[in-house]
Amino acid sequence: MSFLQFNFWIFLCMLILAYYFLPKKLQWVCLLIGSYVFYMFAGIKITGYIIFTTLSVWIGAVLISKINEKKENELIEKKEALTPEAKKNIRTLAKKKQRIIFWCVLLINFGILGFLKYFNFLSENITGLFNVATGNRIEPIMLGLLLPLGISFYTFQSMGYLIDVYNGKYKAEKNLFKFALFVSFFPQIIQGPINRFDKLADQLYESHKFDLKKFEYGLELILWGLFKKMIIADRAIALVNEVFNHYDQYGGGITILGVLFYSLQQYADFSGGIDVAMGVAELFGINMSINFKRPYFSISLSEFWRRWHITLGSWMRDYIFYPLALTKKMSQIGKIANKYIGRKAGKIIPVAISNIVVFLVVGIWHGPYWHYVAWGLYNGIIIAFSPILEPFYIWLKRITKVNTECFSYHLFRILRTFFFINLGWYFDRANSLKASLYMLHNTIMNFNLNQLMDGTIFKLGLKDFDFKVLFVATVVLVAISVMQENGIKVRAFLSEQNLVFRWIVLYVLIFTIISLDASSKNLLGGFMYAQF
Amino acid sequence: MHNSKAAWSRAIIFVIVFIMINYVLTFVVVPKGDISRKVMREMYSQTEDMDVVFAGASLSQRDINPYIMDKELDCKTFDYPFDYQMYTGTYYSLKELFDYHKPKLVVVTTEQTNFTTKGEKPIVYLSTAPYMKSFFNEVQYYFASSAQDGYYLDRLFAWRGYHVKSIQDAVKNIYEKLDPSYINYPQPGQVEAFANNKSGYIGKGGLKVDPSDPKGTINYDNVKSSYTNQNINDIKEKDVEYLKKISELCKANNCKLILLSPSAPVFQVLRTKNYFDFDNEMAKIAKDLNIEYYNYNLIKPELFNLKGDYFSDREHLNSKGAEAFSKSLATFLKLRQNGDDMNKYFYTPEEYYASINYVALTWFNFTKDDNKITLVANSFYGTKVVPEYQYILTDSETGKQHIIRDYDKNPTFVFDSSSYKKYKIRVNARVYGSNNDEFTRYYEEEISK
Repeated sequence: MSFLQFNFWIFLCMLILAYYFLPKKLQWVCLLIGSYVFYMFAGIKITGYIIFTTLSVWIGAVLISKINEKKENELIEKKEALTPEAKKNIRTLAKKKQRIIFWCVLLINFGILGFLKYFNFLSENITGLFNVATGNRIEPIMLGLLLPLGISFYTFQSMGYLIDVYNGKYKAEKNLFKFALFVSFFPQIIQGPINRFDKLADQLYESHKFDLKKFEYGLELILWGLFKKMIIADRAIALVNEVFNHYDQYGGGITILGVLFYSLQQYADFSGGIDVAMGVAELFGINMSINFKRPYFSISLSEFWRRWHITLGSWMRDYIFYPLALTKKMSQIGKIANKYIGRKAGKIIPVAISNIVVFLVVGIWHGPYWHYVAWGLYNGIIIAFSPILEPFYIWLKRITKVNTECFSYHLFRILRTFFFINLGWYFDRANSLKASLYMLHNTIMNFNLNQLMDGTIFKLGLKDFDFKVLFVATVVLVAISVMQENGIKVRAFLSEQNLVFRWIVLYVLIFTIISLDASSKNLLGGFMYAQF
Repeated sequence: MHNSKAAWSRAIIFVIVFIMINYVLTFVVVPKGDISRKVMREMYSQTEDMDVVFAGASLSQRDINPYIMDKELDCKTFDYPFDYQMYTGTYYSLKELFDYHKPKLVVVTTEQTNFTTKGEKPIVYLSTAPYMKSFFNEVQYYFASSAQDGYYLDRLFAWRGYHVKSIQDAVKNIYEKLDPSYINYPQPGQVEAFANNKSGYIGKGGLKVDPSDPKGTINYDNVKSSYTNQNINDIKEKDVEYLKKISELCKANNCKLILLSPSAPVFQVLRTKNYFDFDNEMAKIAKDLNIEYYNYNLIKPELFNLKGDYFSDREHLNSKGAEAFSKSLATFLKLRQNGDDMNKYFYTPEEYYASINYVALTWFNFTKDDNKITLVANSFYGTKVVPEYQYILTDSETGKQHIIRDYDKNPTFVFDSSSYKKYKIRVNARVYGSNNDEFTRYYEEEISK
């Protein structure tokens, strides 16, 4: 079931009715059943994966917690009798047991994700290398593996929970079914956000009274998400697909247009889907983690990644970046750099390496293709090199005496960041690494201005009317984003307005979505991040 | 505070206003219902019970003249077809009919696409469902048809994809929808007034196409065709399921059901390579569902002598064809009623192919290699026919014609076009050994450098 299918809305209406009419203490049970019903619509067979992850992580976390409790109790009970050496031994032994359990659960679950997502990719590449080395022509083993719905999202969310429990951030949830709800909560399962247990769990388990105002807010967020998805993304994708799928037919001008449309389409699709998911959760009185903060207003690439897919970014920061940057190896590298290159390098290099690794993982997370790897590396390298080049920027600003406190400089930084992001999209969206490089080469060496003027634009899958709709919708999107960027809470702002104005805005939004929706024609209503 | 009565009232009024806006939009921009609405409303208004009903889509509407059927069968018949309707729609519209009438026989006209369709076009629902009296039936039909193709929004908000083109059209649309003769259709005399129409709607669900109209008779020449395949694996379970439901519905209402493939132009049968494999599968499905199935393409001339000029297009009969077909079908139904073995009136596929002793359609394809033009003729014909082709060139600049190759069994001909800038090539096809210079079919196409 997708958010864009009619069945989903019927399912949602029924679930909301059940949720608010059932006794309050059963609300979380209702959500759990609803979440599994939702999941089973994608296929009963794949439900086994999510059940396995839930069970293994729950058992692992409970055992880790129990070992910890046992250790604490032992230390308290025998406080007087134990020597410092014995206390240390107890702690070490407990940590060892916890570590074994932790790594087993972690490796099994990431193993499943890795196997399902990357087996074919690895098989193809390893066989290719083997063939090159031996001169044979062996066909790679390719398995028809079915990727369970939302596996990346629920695996990351569960692993985040396991790591937190292992690190003693909070205790494990003892109720399996409550934990199962945290993993399977249906609005987040398709494309995130990747929620944290300490932020979401209590909201899931506590009772919620129906609040019409919050319900209205939820509906408004859903409408806004649908507007972005159905009016903008599903329209822009026609041009994006045409340009990227037939990249060898177009010059640099059209390629740039395709990349810019991809910027728009990807943001509208992903953030629109997240808005719908968050709005749906709000209908149940649950607030999920924010995943987008108007990323295209960022003034640096690193800021962009703090505003785009925020929950994945913070997951990577907390569970990969910091653990990696704080390892003994990194410390050693820092010391060596400090000794041979300088103090600043000693600080920068471990961070830069960690950043590159994080973005490499992000790239691979997007899919088993080399162009995603290149895209991850591109982002990682730019972010890694930024601090290295910082003295040069300061020097440049000083000698050119540029006023950095004015709007034009701020705008320049936004546009500069936007340029680098779009350069990255060449790798992200292209169908292969070869296609990315071809398109980049074409952009520089074969601009073909004529194609922008001779009507080719109107042969890219969008009609004149679609361009007009896209233009107006994008202006609305930018206007709302500017309001939000200036601290205006749009839903609160709207609720303060007179009833007639408020209703007109809502009716216009609803009827615009109904009449101008483009999803049913080409796309079968899918969200692009649902495939991850 | 948030859940106050006033807040709830506002929310309810918001929904009501939304429904009202939707209703107004539908009224203003959705074109007024035409034939489908008439058929549905006539069905409700029929005071006398119907004996025989011809359901399905445009094949029933155009091929079967209800007045001739009335006369020939000496009973009350009614055409109950809806354009582009598939089995899903036929099931729900028949369900509606059985609530008001108890026919003894339902004939559902069919074609192969009825078994392979992924869904019915939303327009079919929009042109019939709003006129159904049973809300429950309408809702069921909505979900059944939308579940097949996913076009829920298109069916729920009719104005989305089904609307007038301009403001003037909208004004005209409102005016026409407010016309009492439209609102109260059928008033006494309205249906009868249609009965004498030479073309267009004739009442009782029938539609005539005048053969003398410019588009009233098909022109077999200059039709560029190609072979096609109808794959048995493309048969959709859902389509069979709804055929089964139709069968069960008829059974529950003590009504006999016949599934009928009406006659199509011969070339349409010949161009489908595995036409009869698929037809056998249809017959098998029908047999499994206890439905009588007949393919009128196989009917022997003693019962129906199919002529080329009976058709208005690639599927439908014109009024001349419909008259002949209706009379034949009436005879057929009477013979069937009398207990005759109906199989004896049908050819086997082999006999059918052998009976086509002429070239049904011809065309050519060409490839260019500088001035060298390779022409390859093709045609549809029966198993006992060997075609031969003649090529004629007409210089577009001078208008002069040359026979560039006389009749020959070899369909391929290569010629040098260097002397011509722009010219037309015509291929004439005839049966080899027909002992005259007459072609039976031709095809012409302009070629330029």
